[in-house]
Amino acid sequence: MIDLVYIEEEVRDHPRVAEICRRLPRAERVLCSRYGELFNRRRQSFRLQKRRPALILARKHEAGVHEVPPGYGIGTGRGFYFSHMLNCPYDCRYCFLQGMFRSAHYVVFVNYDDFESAMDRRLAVHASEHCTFFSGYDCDSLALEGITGFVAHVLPFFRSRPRAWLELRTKSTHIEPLLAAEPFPRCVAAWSFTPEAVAEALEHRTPDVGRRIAAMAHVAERGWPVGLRLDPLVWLPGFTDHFRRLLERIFTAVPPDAVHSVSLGTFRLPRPFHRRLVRLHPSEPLLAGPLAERDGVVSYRGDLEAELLTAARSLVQEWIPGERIFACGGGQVGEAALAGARAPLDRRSLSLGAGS
Amino acid sequence: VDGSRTIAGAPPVGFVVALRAEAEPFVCELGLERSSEAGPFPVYLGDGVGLVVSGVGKVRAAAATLHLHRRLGEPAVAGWINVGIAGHRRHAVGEGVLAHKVTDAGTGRSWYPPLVFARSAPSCEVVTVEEVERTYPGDAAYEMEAAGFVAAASRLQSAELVQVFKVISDNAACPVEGIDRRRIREWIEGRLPEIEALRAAVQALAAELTQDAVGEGALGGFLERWHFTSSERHRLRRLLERLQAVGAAGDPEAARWRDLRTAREVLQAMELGIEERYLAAPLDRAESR
Repeated sequence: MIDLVYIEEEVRDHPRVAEICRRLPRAERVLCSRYGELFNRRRQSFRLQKRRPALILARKHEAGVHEVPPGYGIGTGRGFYFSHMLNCPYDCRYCFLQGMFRSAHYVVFVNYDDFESAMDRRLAVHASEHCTFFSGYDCDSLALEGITGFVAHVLPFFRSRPRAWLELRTKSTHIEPLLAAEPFPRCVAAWSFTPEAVAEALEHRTPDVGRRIAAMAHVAERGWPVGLRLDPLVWLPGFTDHFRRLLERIFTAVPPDAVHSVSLGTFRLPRPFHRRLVRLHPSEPLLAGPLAERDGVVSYRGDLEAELLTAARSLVQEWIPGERIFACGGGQVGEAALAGARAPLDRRSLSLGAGS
Repeated sequence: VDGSRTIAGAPPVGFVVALRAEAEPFVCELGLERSSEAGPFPVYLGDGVGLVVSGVGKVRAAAATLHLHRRLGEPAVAGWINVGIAGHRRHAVGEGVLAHKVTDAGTGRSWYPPLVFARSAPSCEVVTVEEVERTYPGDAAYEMEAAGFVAAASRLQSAELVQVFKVISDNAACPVEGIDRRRIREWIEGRLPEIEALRAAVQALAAELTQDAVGEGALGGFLERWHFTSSERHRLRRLLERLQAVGAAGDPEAARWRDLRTAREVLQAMELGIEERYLAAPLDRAESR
């Protein structure tokens, strides 16, 4: 429940602000000069704000799209990400957003058109290539769609640009904009999953695994390509059995042919983010376990990491051909990934936000 | 009440008020006693509460906040609340309001106290002015201390734990000239239930931030038995937190490390103990074991 909306002076008369406020009729509205006045200031607690986040409506100056690290992608050309929104309503204990921001308020940059212009500029520069734009980087792509209307706005943009791909990454069941629109092949709606036991322990306030599968199946049935994001892989005894059961549930509902791509990645955090998460949740067992730091990244020990990736890849390959399976952090899942190789340290290579 | 810390139990909430008349309802209802320690501002103490009377103006409010902080000492104050009277053009006299924005009219600077709890009163902007405001130009509560208070208190505690509560004393129909000491006391008294609810909310939030921390007591047994260097102490604290998280005992008498000779051996044994527990049941929270 959002009961407080902060609005930047600059966008107070923006039609999208009026539209969003209409969707939150009971929320109090407070004007601010810039969202930075209240978002991510020192001496704020992400954990406390997560109890009742406010919504901040702002304008992103120099709304840009940024290149993903080399090797990152889902086999659809050059990759870029953009952040029209910061934070998400879910509370996953492994999520790097908690380490990145001091605030849990949701920030929505209402100048969607500027993001589209930035994407057009990228498409013009890479005129002979396909370009994929990842939207679920600093947020969940669909979770607040009922308020933001972003996906409904952006689908026609992608539909009309034959070289532009969109990845929506989510744990949400808010699939209305996808059901309302005619599908086209260059929009991949990707759901993130962990085995049920992991989801129950670590993914607070998210739709349960069954509801996510149902949403994904519905979208696939409508004709949209769907994606599976099996990230993070979290170690637990009997991982293989848990993971096998998860895949069986998914592929009982979703035809493997409808799956555009699968990506796999183990639990990992940049060291400074890990430190902040520990301060926020010192009694979280996931963060208390035997983790190791390598090249500035905190993750499982090499042997556990390799065990997880090997098992996951082999189980996924029972359903999906290897060329559609990718590593979060670089390329298709192969021996390099199993050896613990990573793209250069860059937060972009480590996770793709709340949707991941 | 002498100069040493007297508040028992949970860390206190620090109240900052401008006038004695604003303090009186707290003193009576919460049984506060005046501190005998000499200082620039009168301080009152009670169970879970410290209160300072700042006098009028934002500079005094800031100074009084820091004075109470020093007076209350460690452990840190759970949170800070500024209570006082304010004028608002449309809110009724006697009504209580929480600040969702505090603006210093002199500098133009604003703060936004995060309201992350169920609110006991409506919220509005609070504007701190230098002189009494009689025209109420904006849809805001006008008063003279909040900006100084927030500027000081937000250096001491997380923003969610710094709140401003104002009771409306004047508006377009009831001018400021009608205010007297008796009425101020009555207005504040009438809003004590909301103020108490706010105090409870702030204390609960503060408790959430500290509930998982390993206290000095837990460290004590280890520090007495083995010699830890400064960096080993930091490591020990985190290992005790991790042990707690995975549900293993952090007791210096535990058989696992009772007979170990050095701090280093203890730390190594703790690491192994955590790994064993975690690998056996990585998703079990300590409280569910």
